[in-house]
Amino acid sequence: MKLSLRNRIAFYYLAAAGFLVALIFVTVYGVVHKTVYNHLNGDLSAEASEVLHSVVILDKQFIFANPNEWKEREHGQIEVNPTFVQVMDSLGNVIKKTPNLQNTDLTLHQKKTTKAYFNSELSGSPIRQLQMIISNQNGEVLGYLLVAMPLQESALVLQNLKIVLLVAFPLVLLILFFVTRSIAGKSIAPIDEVISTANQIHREQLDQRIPLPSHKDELHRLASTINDLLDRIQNALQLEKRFTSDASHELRTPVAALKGTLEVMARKPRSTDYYQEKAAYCLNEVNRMSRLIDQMLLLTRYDGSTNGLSFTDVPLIQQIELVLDRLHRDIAENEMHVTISGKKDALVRVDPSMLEILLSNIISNAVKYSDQGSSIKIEISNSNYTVSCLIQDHGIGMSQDEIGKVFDRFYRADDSRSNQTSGVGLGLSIVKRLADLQDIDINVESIPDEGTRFVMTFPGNPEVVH
Amino acid sequence: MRILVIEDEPGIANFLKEGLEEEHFAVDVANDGNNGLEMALVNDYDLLLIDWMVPGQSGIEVTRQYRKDHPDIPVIFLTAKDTVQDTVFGLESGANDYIKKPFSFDELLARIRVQLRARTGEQTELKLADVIMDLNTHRVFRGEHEINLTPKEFSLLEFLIRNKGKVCTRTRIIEHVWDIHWDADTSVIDVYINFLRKKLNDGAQQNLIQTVRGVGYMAVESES
Repeated sequence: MKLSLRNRIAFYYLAAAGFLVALIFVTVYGVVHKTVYNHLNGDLSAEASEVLHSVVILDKQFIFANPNEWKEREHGQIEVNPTFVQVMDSLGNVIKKTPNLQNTDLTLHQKKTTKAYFNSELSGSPIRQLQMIISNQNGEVLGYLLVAMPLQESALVLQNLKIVLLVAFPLVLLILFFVTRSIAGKSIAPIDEVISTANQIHREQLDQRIPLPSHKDELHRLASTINDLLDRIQNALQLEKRFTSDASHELRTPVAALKGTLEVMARKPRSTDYYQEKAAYCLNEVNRMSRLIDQMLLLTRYDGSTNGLSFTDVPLIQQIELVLDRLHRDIAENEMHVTISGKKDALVRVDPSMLEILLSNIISNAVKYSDQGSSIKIEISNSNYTVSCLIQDHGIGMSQDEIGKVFDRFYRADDSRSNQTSGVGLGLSIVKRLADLQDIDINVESIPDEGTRFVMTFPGNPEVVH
Repeated sequence: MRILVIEDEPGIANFLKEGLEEEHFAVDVANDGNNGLEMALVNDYDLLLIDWMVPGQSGIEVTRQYRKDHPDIPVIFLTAKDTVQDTVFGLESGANDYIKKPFSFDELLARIRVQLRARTGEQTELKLADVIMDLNTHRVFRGEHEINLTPKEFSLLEFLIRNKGKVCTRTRIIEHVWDIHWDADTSVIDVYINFLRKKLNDGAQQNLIQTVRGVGYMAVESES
């Protein structure tokens, strides 16, 4: 059966409350019942002991000491609270009985023990009866004493109570059901609000938030948790959106240049020189696009996950030399000079191929943005289980403002100065991502027209050679 | 017709200049917003092609500034932004047209012509006495005879006929027919006027291009 949360809460509550109410009703009835009967039994017992006081037990028989008592008023009446007394011999023959019994007898129940209370009947009306055995000192049964009182009134009280309780029970349950249902409805109403707000939020309209309830309760926590989640999704989507729009801009520009150049070229016959020049330009542009696509794939492949990285201890110097080897031609072309100093035996725990891309991006930037003939300084140092690597150039540098944006995707510091370089603005955001993945801390300092310092701090590793 | 291109991407700026010059436009290129705005305000252009995202002042900002003084010079945006909001925003900030990168050069050319036509009236033909210039095919006739003109001669004649009956100063001619690299020397105009006169007057008597001594030249329907 599929019930709404509201009805489910109401039903659970109802079941528990119904059980409790039933328990209370049964207890009430039991207590009343017991009290009524105890009271009757007490009266019967008092009457019986009074009668027994007047009985003198002889050896084989008993006699009544005060026969006058039998004529008391209460024993003569039938109507108002009468008490019936009857004495019988051991064979069950009535020896003496109160006048209010008239021509009926109280019934003797042979099986009853020395003193027993039970319900019986006297000419059709219910009575409460006490039956006692009159015995001599040897325990021989000499006769029976039977005392009885009408039960009608007490039975009526109990009967009425029973009816009231039985009728009240379902009524109470019904009322409880509606009350709990409305309470449950009220207490989950904020959830409905959360649902309706959440329904309005979709991809294009992510700036809506669930209104927080004024009380700092579970619902407040639920709402603020969902809001936090929405914040994170919105941020991620915004980043993704910006990346997509940046990427499309970066791809559209070279495509537009290629398309336009080729279209103009095809408008009429040209000289061989012209074709050669344009072909070289187009090839260059295609290469740039291909580099851009590679880098974009690299960025998206490792977006936020270390899956596929394999960490090993490698000498930092080995990676640096590998990169310098690859950039050898660019360095030589610019007549640049690279010095390496410091702890050349330091090991770092990294993914070697990732570190290579990272170093290659930083060092090629240093080469790209430096003047001809200037020098690049690389220094390795270690302290307290960390290894640091400084890469310093004497290039065009950056302003404080530019440093803040340098790790942004597609950011290129001051276009007017970097137009002639072939970067696409992804290099340093790749550096940032790869560094984050490998827990490498990167710090940039730069002064315009003096140069830039990159300091990489590698994570602590107890196995590092000191 | 002189066009200013404000575009920071050299690849795009180069083919625009080349292609448009081959279509008889005089083309200047600025590679950032600040330079672009300065050139646009100092020189006299017939149309501006502006890339939205250029260093310095953005294309939008340049357009706004330029519009204050030049409400009727057409501006066409070139941009890689492609959402509807961007297009609307671009057009609302004062551009007459909006073309998305990558675009077809022929389409750009058509859009430029539409804008120029809208400003100068729905003309595909210019007439001066019995001289007819077909602006679409770039062919020129005097009476029954076709006259072969070089692109520069064509532009010069077009400018004069568009301003027929008015004196065109040497400076204005230079500004509208030659690009910025020619401003040093206006004597080149006299040379081209001579070429034009020779070709136009070949076989006919009427001189349609009159010299206004010390000022410039004027195209006239009939000699007075």
